[in-house]
Amino acid sequence: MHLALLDYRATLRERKTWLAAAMLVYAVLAIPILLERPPAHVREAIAAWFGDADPFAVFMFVWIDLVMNKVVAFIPVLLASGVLLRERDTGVLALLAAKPISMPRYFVLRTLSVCAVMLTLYAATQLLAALWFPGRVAGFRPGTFLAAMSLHAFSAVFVTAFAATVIVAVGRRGAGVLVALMLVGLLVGLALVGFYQPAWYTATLANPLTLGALAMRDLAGPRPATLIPPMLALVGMTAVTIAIGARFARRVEA
Amino acid sequence: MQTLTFLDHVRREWRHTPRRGPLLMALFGVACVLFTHLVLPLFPPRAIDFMRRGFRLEDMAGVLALNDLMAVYFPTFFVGLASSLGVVLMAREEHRLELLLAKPVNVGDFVAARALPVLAWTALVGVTISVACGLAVALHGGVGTSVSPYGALGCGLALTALAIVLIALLQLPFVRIRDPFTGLMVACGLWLATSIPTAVLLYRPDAFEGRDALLHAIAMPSLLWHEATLAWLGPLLLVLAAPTAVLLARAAGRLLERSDAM
Repeated sequence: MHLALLDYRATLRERKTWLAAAMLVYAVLAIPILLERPPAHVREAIAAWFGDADPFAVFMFVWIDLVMNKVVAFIPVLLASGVLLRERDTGVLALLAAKPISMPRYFVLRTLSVCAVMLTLYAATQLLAALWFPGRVAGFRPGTFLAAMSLHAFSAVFVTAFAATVIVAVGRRGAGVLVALMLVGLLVGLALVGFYQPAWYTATLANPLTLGALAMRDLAGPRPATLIPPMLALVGMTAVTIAIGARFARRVEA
Repeated sequence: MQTLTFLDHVRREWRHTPRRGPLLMALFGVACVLFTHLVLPLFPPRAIDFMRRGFRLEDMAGVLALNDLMAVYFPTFFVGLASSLGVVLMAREEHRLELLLAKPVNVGDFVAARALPVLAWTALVGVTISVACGLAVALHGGVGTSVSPYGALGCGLALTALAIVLIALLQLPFVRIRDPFTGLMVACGLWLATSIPTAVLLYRPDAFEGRDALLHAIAMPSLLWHEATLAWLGPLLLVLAAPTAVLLARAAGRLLERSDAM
């Protein structure tokens, strides 16, 4: 774990992490302006999908669908794109092979590190938003917001682990990033389909990004019964995904 | 010893350009178009109306065509981006760039010769998915008449042209950036920046009041409002994108030549 901590600290200091943080700060600052005057048909449609006419529901829909799901579609893939294959391509893996650490274990450490970086960026964004939005977003409720986004954070961590696994499975960085972006793009695109078409709701629960958005059904005050089961499901999916990635890591040669 | 011309370099790089990624993304894009036309009509009328009114489209044909256009733009841009990382960025990170530049080749020609096959494959992906859009609209004619098959094809080609120019433009910062992931971040930021006006149109249409020219220039759905014009303008834009992309790729090469970051 000491190695994972060192890697986490090093990644936090990298320029790409700061660029990602700048994009997230921009999103926080821009959303109140975007949501200042939503058209009536947008308010009506969102109220019908989520059974809630509160302006806060419109905000949460936009924050999850337009902002955080798009963030989750890109930033985790970029953060995970260097796991293991960057070391191989730059010749560092040959040095690591001489150390008493197996490839699967090294993959797990690096993946946990990038998941922690993603979680740090994610949590910092939500905290900044909880401080910035009151008074700027109609009907904003910080407690409900943080509870709902704490569930969505689990799907962000899942996507990071998923991207690392897909990229290592593909075995080439450029192609791996492309396949990961494509698959995560699909999951993001279908994340809220079950809300638009209730007949498909149960089937869409297989999508980790739908699980991350389930607090949208309980915005009056998300209860533990709404949040904890999808959180546990996402933790399980993340663990299984990392385990699969570790098996693929065995194939990577220095 | 015979000196290789620029076209010889391009031919050599063409032979070594990865093809599986572009082919996969072309199939993915075509599958997305098919999926849109099979699944979107099953959505409740409220969801369709949300998109139709939000993006100022006339009928279901417009809603389907707009979703098709996303299936053109996303795969085309990202296949070009992923492939173009190999032009300079990854070679530099893997310490191969010095070796490659030690060859008796002009640096400008070197970068352009490596970038052009990538841009050509990017164009092929965009054109393939755009043709699929046109065919899908032709086969799905019963849902509305606001978009013609040639209009949908032209809009797809216009977005393909945009993707090619953006990827060629990105080569300029890419020859200066040392970390491929910083490059990816910059590129994703650029792609998102081109999509933001569409979100503004949906949630803050009043931001465009009195700014019609701006709205028609930067919001993606506006392509469909002018689909009859795009039927001829789209192919023309794609043709114009080719020399623009070549110029940008050569400019990136010249920038690398003058840079001390090699």
